[in-house]
Amino acid sequence: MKTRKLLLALLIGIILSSISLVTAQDALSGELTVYLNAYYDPAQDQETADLTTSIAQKYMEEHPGVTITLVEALPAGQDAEAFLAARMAADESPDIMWQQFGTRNVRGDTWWVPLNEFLDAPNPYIAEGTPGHDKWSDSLPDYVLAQTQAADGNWYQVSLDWVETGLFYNKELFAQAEIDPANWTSWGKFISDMRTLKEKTGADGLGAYVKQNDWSNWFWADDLFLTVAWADMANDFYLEKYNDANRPWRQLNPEEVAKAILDGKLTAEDPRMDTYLSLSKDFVSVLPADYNGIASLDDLDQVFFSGQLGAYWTGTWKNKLFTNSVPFEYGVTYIPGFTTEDAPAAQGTAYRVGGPSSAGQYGIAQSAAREGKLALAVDFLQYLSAPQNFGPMTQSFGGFLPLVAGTDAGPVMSGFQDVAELPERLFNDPDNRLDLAARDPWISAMQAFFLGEADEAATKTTLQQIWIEGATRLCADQGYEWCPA
Amino acid sequence: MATNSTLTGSVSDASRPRSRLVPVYMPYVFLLPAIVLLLLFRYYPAFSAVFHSFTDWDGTRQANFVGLDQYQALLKDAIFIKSVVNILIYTAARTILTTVMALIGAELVYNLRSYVSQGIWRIIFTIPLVIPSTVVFLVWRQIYNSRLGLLNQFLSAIGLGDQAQPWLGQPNTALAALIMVGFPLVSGLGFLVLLSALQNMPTEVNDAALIDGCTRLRRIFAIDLPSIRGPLALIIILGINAGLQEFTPMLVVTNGGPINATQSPGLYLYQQAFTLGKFGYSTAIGTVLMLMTLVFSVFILRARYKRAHDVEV
Amino acid sequence: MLKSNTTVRTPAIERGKTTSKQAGWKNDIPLTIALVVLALLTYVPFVSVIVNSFKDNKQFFTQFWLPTFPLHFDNYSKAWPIISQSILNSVIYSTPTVILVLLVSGLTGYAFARYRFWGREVIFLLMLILIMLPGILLVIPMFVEIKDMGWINTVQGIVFPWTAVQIPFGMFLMRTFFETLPKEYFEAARLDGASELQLFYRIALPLATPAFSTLGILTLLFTWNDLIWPIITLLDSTRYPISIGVLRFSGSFSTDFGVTFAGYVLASVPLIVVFFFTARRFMAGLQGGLSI
Repeated sequence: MKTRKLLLALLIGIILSSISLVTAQDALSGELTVYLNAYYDPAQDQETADLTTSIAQKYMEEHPGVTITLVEALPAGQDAEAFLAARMAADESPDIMWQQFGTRNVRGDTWWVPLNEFLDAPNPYIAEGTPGHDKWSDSLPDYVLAQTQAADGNWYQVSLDWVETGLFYNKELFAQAEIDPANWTSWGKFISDMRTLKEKTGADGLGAYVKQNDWSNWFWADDLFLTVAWADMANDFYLEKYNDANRPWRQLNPEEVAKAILDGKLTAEDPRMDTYLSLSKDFVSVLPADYNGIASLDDLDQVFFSGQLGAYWTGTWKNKLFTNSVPFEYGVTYIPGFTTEDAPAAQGTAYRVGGPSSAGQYGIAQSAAREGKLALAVDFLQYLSAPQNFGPMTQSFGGFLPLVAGTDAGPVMSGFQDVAELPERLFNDPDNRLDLAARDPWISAMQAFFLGEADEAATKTTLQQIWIEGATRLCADQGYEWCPA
Repeated sequence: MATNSTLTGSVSDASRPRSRLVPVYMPYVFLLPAIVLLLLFRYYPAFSAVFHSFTDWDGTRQANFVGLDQYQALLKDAIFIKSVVNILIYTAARTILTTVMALIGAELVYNLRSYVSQGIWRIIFTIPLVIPSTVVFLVWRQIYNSRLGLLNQFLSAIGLGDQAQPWLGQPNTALAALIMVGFPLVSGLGFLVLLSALQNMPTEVNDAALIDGCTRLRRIFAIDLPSIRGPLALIIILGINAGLQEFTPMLVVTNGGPINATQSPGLYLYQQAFTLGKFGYSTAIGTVLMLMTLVFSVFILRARYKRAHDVEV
Repeated sequence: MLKSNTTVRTPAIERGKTTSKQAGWKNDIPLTIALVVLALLTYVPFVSVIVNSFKDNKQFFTQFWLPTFPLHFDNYSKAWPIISQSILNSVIYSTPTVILVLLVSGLTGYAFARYRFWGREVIFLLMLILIMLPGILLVIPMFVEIKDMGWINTVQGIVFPWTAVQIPFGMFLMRTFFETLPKEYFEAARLDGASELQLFYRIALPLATPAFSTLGILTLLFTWNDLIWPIITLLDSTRYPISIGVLRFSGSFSTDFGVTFAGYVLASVPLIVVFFFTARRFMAGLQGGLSI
């Protein structure tokens, strides 16, 4: 009798373990190609690349039968969008791939796998007690999830890190001009100090530029000015479906912007836009003379380093470079708060423009799912985004703030924590406010205004046209219920 | 033994008696590799591109037939029209500039006394060909920088400081600035071709002209230019062809700005395709670009061959 | 396109002289001055690349045009591992391309030059017209085609499209050249019983060396610099040719300019070496005259 029971137990044991073995092997074997942007770029940062390689190595050791191939980051000047477009056209995209969430959400499920169901499920690599253990999305901040959600309600990526901006300023030039960021009680004071700097030292005040058909750091200013002009209407614009009790003040979703435009609440003919235009004009008046001809943000590095620029609006990713190479003493500050002197609707604060537009944005390509690799890709992504793995990666790279709960920003990022705690901007960049196609006309219209080719009235008309067209387009693409027939 | 045959030898001796019979398919055998390669990798993608210009292709999925919609949209697109105007100005100016500079360079070298010094200068101007164009663009961006750039610093140094301006940052100077990138534009294929053409000219005519008291300058216009018409036309056609399609300088230096002052059809095509995913629209742009290039080339060829009989020197 | 062989006048080149022989040295001075000015302007990019290749970022940002000290020779040692691999890759892509282009252009140009056949001018024009195709237009259709053939990330996926791009110009060049060869050479051999193909590779090919040198160098320059096609078809960064290799030091977040420029200098060295050895033949190839 005893032997029979023993044999039965043994049999059950064998069956159970072979089932688990089979299912385990089914889920986790195969090859995965992974593109991690700045976190795997041996030519630029050997240290971080090695660290990432070792993390991938550990995964492979824990899952024999899996091969992870890390794809090197694209060289600069190479258009990531062109690269992706070609790869996707041929189903040759890396399985886990980076893309800016703005353009990624435009592509949606044509290219990317919606991750909603996985974000609702546990992340097996996050330890018990740490947010994310029971539900993966707990490990990421709400406001990030809200910002990176696509217009159709899906998440096509996980956003693991955050980029923040600040004004790096030349302490020596500031001393020479006798100005001090501590005195910046309002935007107006800031602008007049920038002008003083130019008078007294000959150097340009602020480092920013406007670029046609492409991103430029003027986008940040543009967002801020729109926010300041319309801050009092925020609640009118908000739609219930996006509201979140924890975040009474938040960024507008493209749907909300479109609805506000088509309802006539948000219009460029409103006197608020005069404020917007005059703030914008002030801004460009303290920029270097060729601000319309600068090809990339890095071109301003030179001007800053050679002591011809007082303050430089750039991001945390420059931190390592500046610490190592700047030949003078520099500090980090930010745009001061906007008071009612600057704009009637101002709330007395500035706004951060930092966001999850950084290197740690990863999604899973549809081609991977079609090849049966979805489970493996999800698992590796969960592994990578666990704090014990991603944290060290961000610390090593030293250019972004990690978002994953349980990670630590490290000493390098100290100056930016204050900025990161400011309220966020109401409006996203011109390419994400409504849709991508609205970007280029907006830039052209504002450039024409800056260069004196269009006056306030003409510019407002053009901007309104862009808004109406963009909102209509968005309605046609997304088919919101409230859209006019 | 009546087999099909073909004449051998060059066309100019068509009047000579027929020589040994050669199978008629022979030339086609020689042409086969080229035809296969070109059909596969040039014609097929070209037809595919033109075909897609009648659709609303987005690069990955759907390609629904939309007839002439893309072309109609093109005609109403102010940015496209501006880009065409820009590229016509750019091509005309750039072609004239490069041809004239190549000619100046070639004439300067040709008029040197000894052949040895000619050879030395030829090498001096050929070496810079190894520099990739990206480097040239980078350096020229630096030259045009409004604070640290060579151009503005040079102007200040010679007392023209008030002329210093943001060359790339203004719509009225940006295109001109682009056209001048690469100045003095002597080093290049044009220079080599024209120099060789000049050196191929028989000296008797030039000696006669000199004895008659003709100045060097007059000789250049009266004798040199007519005799190098062939190579000159070739350089011009290649220049026009390259100029119309140009998009790399625009992409790297100004991205089409400011306010589309340096937008080109090639760049617009690139942006529509790769940033906005509108492949149907961008192939329409490309097809129009191709037609424009064709028209201009035919135009030049006709002008070139109008008096073809006096070319032989 | 008709270069008559019946000229009796000797071109200046063959007599080793030019026309200003009676004027003496004095005439050369203004010319030389002008040439020196032009050369100085031409070499500015060249020199600034070299000067900047010895700077670290700090020096680069503070002074672009003039040399700075100390010189950072380590930029070259940092650039070398990546550049050397890229150079090797470029050689792997360029060599078959050049050979193929020379061969196919030679065959094709020869056919157009030496035979009369039905549709000759039409076919010639149809091929020449391909030069007018905007390359950027064809990238996506060609990429999809290459992918369907399974040639993504392969050497042949680079070599064959590149060859196809160069052939129209190449065969035009070769046709111009072959038309200058006297037909007597071929008649004699034909009477001796040589086949058409033998005529081609026994007689035409050896004589074509100058034109081949020119075409070869031009093709090499094209393949060395072309950037858009390789970056779209190649997935492994270990297979990138030099045109992309030099960009590897420019990241989206920071660029090591000194090393980038050192990379450019290293990248030019193979070309300079090739030029050095073939310069004379290259010039000779153009000597026959290039014209339409």
